[in-house]
Amino acid sequence: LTAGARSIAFWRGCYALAARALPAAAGVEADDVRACMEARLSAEAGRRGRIGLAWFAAGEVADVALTAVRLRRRVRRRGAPERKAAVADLLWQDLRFAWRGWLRRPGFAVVAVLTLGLGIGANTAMFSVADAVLFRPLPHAEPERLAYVWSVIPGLDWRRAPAAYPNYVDWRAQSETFADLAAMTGNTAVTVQTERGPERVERALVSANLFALLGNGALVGRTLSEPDDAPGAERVVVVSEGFWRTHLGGTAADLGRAIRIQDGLYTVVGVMPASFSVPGVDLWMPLGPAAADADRDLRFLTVLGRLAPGSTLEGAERELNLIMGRLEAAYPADNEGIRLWVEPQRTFVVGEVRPVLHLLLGAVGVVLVIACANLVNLLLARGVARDRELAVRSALGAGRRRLARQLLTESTLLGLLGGGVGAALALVASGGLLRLAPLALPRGETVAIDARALLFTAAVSLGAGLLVGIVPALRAGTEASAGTLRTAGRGGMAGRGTHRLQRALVVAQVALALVLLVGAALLVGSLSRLLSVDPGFEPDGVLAVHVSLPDSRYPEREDVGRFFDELIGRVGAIPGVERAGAVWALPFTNGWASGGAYPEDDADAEPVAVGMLPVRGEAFEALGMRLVAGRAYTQADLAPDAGVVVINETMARRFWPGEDAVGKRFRRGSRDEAEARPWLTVIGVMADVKRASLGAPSEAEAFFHHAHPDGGWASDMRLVVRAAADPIALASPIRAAVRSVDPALAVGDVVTMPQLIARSAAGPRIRTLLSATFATLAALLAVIGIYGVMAFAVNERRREIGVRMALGARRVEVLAGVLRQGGALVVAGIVLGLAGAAAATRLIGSLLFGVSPLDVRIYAATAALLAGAALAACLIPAARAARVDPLVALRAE
Amino acid sequence: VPQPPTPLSLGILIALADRDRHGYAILKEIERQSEGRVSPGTGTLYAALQRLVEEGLIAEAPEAAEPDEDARRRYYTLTVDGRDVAREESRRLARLVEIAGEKDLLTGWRLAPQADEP
Repeated sequence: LTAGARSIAFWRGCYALAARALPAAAGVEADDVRACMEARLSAEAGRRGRIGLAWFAAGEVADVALTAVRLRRRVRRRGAPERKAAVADLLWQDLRFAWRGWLRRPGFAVVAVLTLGLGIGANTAMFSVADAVLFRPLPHAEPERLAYVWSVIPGLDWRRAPAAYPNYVDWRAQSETFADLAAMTGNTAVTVQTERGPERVERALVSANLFALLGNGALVGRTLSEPDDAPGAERVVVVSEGFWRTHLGGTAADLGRAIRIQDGLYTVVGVMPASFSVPGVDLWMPLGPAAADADRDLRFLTVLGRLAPGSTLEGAERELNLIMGRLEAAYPADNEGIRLWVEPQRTFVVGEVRPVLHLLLGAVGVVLVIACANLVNLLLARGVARDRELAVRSALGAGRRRLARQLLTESTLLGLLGGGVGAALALVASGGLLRLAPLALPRGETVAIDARALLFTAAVSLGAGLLVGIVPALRAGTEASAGTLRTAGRGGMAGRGTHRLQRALVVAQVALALVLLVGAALLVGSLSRLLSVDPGFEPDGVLAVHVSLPDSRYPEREDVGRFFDELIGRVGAIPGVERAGAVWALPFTNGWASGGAYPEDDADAEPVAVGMLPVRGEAFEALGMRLVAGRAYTQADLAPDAGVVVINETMARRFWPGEDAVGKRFRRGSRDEAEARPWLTVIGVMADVKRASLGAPSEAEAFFHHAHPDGGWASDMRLVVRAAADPIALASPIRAAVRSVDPALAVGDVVTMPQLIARSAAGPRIRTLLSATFATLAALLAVIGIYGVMAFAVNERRREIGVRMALGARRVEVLAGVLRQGGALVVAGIVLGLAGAAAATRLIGSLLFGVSPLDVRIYAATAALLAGAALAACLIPAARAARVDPLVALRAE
Repeated sequence: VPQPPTPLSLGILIALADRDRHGYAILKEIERQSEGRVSPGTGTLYAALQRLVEEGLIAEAPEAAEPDEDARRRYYTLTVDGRDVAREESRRLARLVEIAGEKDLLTGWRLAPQADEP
């Protein structure tokens, strides 16, 4: 065979296949087609090259294949009668019908899609938050079996006290209800020497079995394993994916590298994936060496366990307390009265925000209900206006079911379009939400509008579309009867049932919107109260930076003291710095440490927990704390045996109620004389400073001078600086000052006090933002709803109004009549809404700050606002009614 | 109201006006009429033929017009209706062309080649 002949043979094969696709029922003879194609092929073969021929032949094959498809469709349409063909074709027809209708009256479709879009978009955003925080399982193996073990220690008001290392070891050895127990410390910032110089990085010390217990593997390399915990083991570290990428180069070859952490060299053995997220922690190091010689009264470990198959939380708690009872008998001094309780990991992580998120989910659900009610009203109104059209179609043979299905198709399409708009709105509007969530919510950094959220959106859209279509579809089966054809009315008239339904919906919308508005207003009121709370110092103009000294180079208290005096001196000399000092515990950060103390003049007083917070330099002045009584530290107080201390108002009140605390003495530690420490004399009392948050009550605190032996080691201080002008401008000179004293030190982020306070209020802020957004949407939708119904009612009654005016009714009377009608609906809604709000706001009682859940002024103000807006919405149709020209209205007859 | 035939349908009707033809022959005739500018795919051609059969404008010829032609092939013939439609449409087009000529759209162009001109 020649090449040409071979390709002709090939194409003939293709032709045969293509021709076989032609449906016999269409009447086209496949053999005939083939004969024709072959004839053409031979003719073309003489005229074209091989490529030209291929081009031509391929075109022929495609042409025949397309013809086959077209003929098949023709056969199906004509041949197989109704039934099967019906569904797809009728659906298509319905969709096209709906589409054309909307193109004719785009206003309706735009309003409907936007209404649903707002409702669905709000739900998408809220779902994305709730999904990330609540619904998704924690990223561990069988997370429901993980639980924390907390201590409750007598005399310490702390529900989740940490455990001592030897106790943890005993629990682990003796417990059978737990398959395993692991321990970890809180995060601490350490200095890591990187190519860019020293940097501060958060690390946690963990028992080596933690990763296996959680069931999380490394992204690269390995996690820690038991041998790493053994004394004398090689020093290793597991790093976070973020740290690996930004500090180590992010390749597998970087494993095995040694990095300098504090003063030791540690080998990087593994990288944990970003999904193993303990926010902020970048380094995990074995607990072993640090803990091996820890005492039984040094409580610094968080203990997490995995329940053994078949054991329960209650059983585990009972068993651990039995074990603890034995340990109490063996070590009474350290373990006296300690009780243990077991808390599911999930409850610990998200327990606090769960009720808030449930409330917000409820609120956003209400917004969607209001949006749907609006749409039902719109569809009903349009349905009435279309009665003639539907009646004509019905008379022409369209069955009721057909008409009902047409309406359902239309509403479902509206729902899906609304869902698309909603998803787009959620994406556009979620910027603020995504910024706030990581600060305000546990797992907040995983909030995203992702595939799950979009799937949820699709389901809600479909559901909403079907739901709002049901009522008009049922109505199409009844009211839109052939009777409509006989009535002369232009737009058609709604039946009594339709009217009643529309009004009931409007009343319900107003009531629901009011409930949300009252709730949101209470939260807004709370937030503004919270933000106006006096923090006890002057945050404006204050900036702080974390400085932490390695023990190896600053082994003695005096070394640490010299460093900070030098640093405070240099920083104080920077132009623009008014005051400089150092504190161990900065307000609105987590740092706080307490110890027992008792007053001298109360012989029976048990030691109570008092915050032990070292200060140095002009710390009080830099923070702007207020002296209430006595004096602050002077140079004379710095001798190690000076024995003087400044305390806060709460401590003064608690230790010496009703007395002047200055000059009084107290002592740290236990009442046991053998262990007694020297007495301390109070020289000054400071106004209370807010610590954890603006809303929290103040604790008793003693501000030891950093040089004082009871002031703790405190090689870990925050430099506080009061700036004359813009504090941020001082950030780099301050860094430079730190480096000038010790070039090997890492300088932490420079933060301003107002930033820290704002961060502490992120939780109240995000829930207030969300609830206010939802309530505003709800109110807006309700107002649109009442406008729509009133506009429809006026339009429907044009003739009647015309007749009345012809008979002498004045325009003002017509206007008042319409307003009265709308006003009745508004008042009914407001009354119901107030009752509902009074019942519902009890749910948010615990979220309020300084505002009563039944605050009359807030109720009155929101009710007036909503009523005003709703009546204003009625004014437009009322004015239109008053402008009706009787002649025109009657001529329309 | 019957639709005016599509250009391809009209081409088929005209192709069958002088004699019965099979598919390939119709195609060749259409190409000849249009000086090669119209050359439908085989599938398109047969779909059009089928539609014309269903509309009653052409029909299968009872037997091959010329015995030496391939007997396997199906021949098509013009029905009375088909001839009417073709005539109507051709006249309509001719009138259009006349009008176009009156409006000077055909300057420098002749309706039919005249071989005996110098």
